[in-house]
Amino acid sequence: MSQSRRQKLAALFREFLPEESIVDQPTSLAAYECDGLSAYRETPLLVLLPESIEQVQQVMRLCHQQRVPVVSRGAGTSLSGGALPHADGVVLSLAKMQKILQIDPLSRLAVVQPGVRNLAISEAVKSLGLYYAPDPSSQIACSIGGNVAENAGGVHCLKYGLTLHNILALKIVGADGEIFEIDQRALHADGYDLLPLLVGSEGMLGIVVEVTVKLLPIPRCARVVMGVFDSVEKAGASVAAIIAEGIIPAGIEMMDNPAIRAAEDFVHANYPVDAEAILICELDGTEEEVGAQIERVEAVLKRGGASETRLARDEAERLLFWSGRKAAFPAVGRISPDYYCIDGTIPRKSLAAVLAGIRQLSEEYGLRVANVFHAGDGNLHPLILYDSNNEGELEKTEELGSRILQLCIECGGTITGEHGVGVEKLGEMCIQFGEAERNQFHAIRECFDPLRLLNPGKAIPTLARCAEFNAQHVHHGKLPHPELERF
Amino acid sequence: MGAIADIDIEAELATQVAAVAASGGAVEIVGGGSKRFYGEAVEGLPIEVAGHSGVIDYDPAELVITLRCGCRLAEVEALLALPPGAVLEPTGISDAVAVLREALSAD
Repeated sequence: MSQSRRQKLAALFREFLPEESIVDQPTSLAAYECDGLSAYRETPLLVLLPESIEQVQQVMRLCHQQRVPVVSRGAGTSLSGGALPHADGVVLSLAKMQKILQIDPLSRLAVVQPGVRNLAISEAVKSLGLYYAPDPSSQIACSIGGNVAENAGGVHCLKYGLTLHNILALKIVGADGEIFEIDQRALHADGYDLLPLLVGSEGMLGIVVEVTVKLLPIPRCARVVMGVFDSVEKAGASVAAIIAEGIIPAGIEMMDNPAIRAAEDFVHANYPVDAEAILICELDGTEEEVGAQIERVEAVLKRGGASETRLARDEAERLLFWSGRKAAFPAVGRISPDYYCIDGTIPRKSLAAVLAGIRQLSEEYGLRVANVFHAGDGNLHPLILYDSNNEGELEKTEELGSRILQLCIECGGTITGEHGVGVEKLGEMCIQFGEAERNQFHAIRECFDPLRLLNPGKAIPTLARCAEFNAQHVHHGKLPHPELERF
Repeated sequence: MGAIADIDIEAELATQVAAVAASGGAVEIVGGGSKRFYGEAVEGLPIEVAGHSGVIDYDPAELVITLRCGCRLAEVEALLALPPGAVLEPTGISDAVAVLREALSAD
């Protein structure tokens, strides 16, 4: 049945899309069945790769008319299943729209198509002494359209903000095929500020077809200091102490012992393998500013109980310090058949307590957890090490992940820092938000997409889904965390 | 905390708004009133929020401060010990508006 529907629909799209923009063969469709969260897979009816805004509009008009769900997709690097296809829908890939349309060095902005890779923007403006600040670890591959959909972060968002803070304007094709634009280039524009609503809306309010990004001057100087600790608690407390000192580093990253060992075995960055935790703190700016601040950071680290501080002597050593952190995920991949990356955010002051809680949960479930994360902004990325070949281990891993996120909520945090909700965290959304709030989310969505055709089933759980989730999590006749308000 | 008065009139404000809502009327939310001269006159019962003041939560390590809406920016800046206008940009605008008002009234 779906094969005949597939062919019927493909024929309609062939009326305005070139042959190479339509994928309808099962073998080729398989390439699109998942994104970076490969545990979830679904084959779409079709994949469409339009080359222009007009074609995107035509696709949306036809889907609207035919009531076909649309899942938009950038580079497919989402870690929360945001681009997981819908079995009765099309995947709208923006990968062919990858032109940089305008670079304005005086206004420090660039206008780009959604398929342009994050790093390609910085590469294109490097000769002008400029760059695009948000740097998710997938920046070599991920696209700016996807960054907007997920409000992507990165190592440097502590100082420079998330995608939202580095976007000036968006051109969007709505669910009905009409174009609307949001422009915040003027600091005090009239009317509601819709940019924060659209950025991070996970493909549920419209299709981003053009992005105006802010460009920043490349800092003249960047230096790194590493703090070595014999306890994760001391390292966590030192992160809060640096910020309380009034210093905003470009980034503060933390790695615990399992992550340090895995990274050291992989890239030989000369990390202290017996340390319980290391902090890597980067400061950028002018020579004078960085020189003065790095001394203060070193003093704070020592006061916080660092057994040793190491200052990168030159650019080569700075890159060496970073090499272990940047290779941490693949390094963990070498010591475990599979790993599951969790993404939660907590107040900085709770770092030590939450890390201790994660260790307890890790022992309770008998699964190893390595921590390597954006400590400066309280964005945790516990990596749960597991083996999907072992019966039931993936399910156990997902449950442990969910328990870690619930711990984040208990400490006043949230269930996602930068990976989004997608399909992965629908259950946890039921804990984070009450029914009244979720109904408001649905109501906002209906303003943009009354037929609910854009990325249906993602990001905002239905009432039924939450009832199901809560039923699964009732243990011994009692809901976990009875202190949390449930509507 | 600091020199900012700790006065919570949330319940009172809620009662006022509920009463207006019940009668189908409109409200005019008034803070410091520094822009009240600008634009058309607003028809509605003034809801004075300037008296709703105080610091609810302040932890420098979180880079966040939670305040009641009537706090004056100058008081907040003093609390944070920041040079005026360095972070809380609207102060600069208020100053400019004050100057503008003087210029207009002198005309």
